Amino acid sequence: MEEISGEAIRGCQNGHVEAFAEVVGVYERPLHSYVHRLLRGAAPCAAATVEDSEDAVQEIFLKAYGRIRTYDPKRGNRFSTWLFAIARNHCLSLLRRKRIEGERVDLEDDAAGSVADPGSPNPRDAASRREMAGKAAAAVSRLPEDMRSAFVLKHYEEMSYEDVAAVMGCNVGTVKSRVARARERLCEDLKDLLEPPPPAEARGKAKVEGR
Amino acid sequence: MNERPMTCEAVRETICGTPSEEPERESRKGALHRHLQECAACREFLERNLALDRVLAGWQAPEPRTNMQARVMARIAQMERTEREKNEAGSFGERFVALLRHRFQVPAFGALLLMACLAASLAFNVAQFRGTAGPGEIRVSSNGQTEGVGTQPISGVVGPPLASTPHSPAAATRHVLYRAPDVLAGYGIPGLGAGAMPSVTIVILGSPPVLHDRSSAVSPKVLPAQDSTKEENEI
Repeated sequence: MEEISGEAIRGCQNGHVEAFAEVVGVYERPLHSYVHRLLRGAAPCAAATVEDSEDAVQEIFLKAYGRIRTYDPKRGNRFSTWLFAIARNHCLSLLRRKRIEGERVDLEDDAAGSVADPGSPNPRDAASRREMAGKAAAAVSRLPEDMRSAFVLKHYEEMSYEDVAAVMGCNVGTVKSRVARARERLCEDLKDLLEPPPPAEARGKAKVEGR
Repeated sequence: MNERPMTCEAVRETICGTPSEEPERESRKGALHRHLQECAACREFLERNLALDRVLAGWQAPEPRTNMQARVMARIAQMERTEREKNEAGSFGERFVALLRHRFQVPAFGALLLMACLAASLAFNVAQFRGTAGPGEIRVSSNGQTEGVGTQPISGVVGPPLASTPHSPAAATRHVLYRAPDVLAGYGIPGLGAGAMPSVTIVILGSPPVLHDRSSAVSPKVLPAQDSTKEENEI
């Protein structure tokens, strides 16, 4: 993850509002990705839309701006972990208190506009990818919050175990265990998608024998 | 190069690593390969996790759809403006009056009057509370009616005001009331000794009432003021 320059942070701490624009520019996307993955599909915020995630990210930036003077690089934490810790706490309070009204959404629909596109023109492939992405999103949303947060930070935001531990306020061993358990659960939950397809020869043979 | 062999735990941790940890993985490539050749469980773990990564890679979080940077900066500018206005408003008193005028449309003197009433009410309540009877005491209103412990009017011979009444307000005084034992027993006052004329302390708000001793058919009587310490010792 890209790290903001110390100069920009010092600028913010000295009251230069425009320096904070740089902070927003650097962390807008990773923060939105993290917040969306934490809120989307999780029980109280099941119907959280992209706009809800955006509103949450805005609030997180405003909180960060208000507390920018409390960030001390000498404590050894990166600015990104400090910011993501604010984001996590904000999401936790949303998950605990705020109930975004609405039915539980179909995460397969949610994934429709956000599937990684390898450029295949085949509509069947696209539908299959969409289904797979939807199932992946649903499986991640079913993880308990501490596991989901650790897994999303590690897997999707590509943070180191140390950084994840700093965001979550726990030790590295706990993070490793949470990530490993999250992967186990996901493997179990998505095992239908993980089974390698039977080789073409075997499929043909099975068909012949079936007749 | 003779590399140290890797444990299953280390291999699995490396497999679950992110691209940012690629250099570390690269440095232990030989040991990793050797372990995977020998350990079927870790080979299966690797295959399952590679498949899992392929599935998870399909779910991309959507991009923020609006200009987040502009929106955040506009909110910050608004916050800064409000803060500046607050600081420019001056002292706490001035800001308070301004707040009342702008936010609640209440004239300042009205608010101050309201606060004065509240303060007076609070002071009155405190005075009332301080006139409350303590344990083993009966509170009596100026018309002789008891409050709290019993509902029946109390009768007896009222002693002089007790001097040591530090918790009583000016309007409340404590007196010794001499009563027949059976009547006092009805008020549930503990510790009444036998023999001496039984008594109880009463807290009177206002001027002392004349209490009638009906049980002994004695004329109503209010004893003259005397040293309360002495009085209590006698009892």
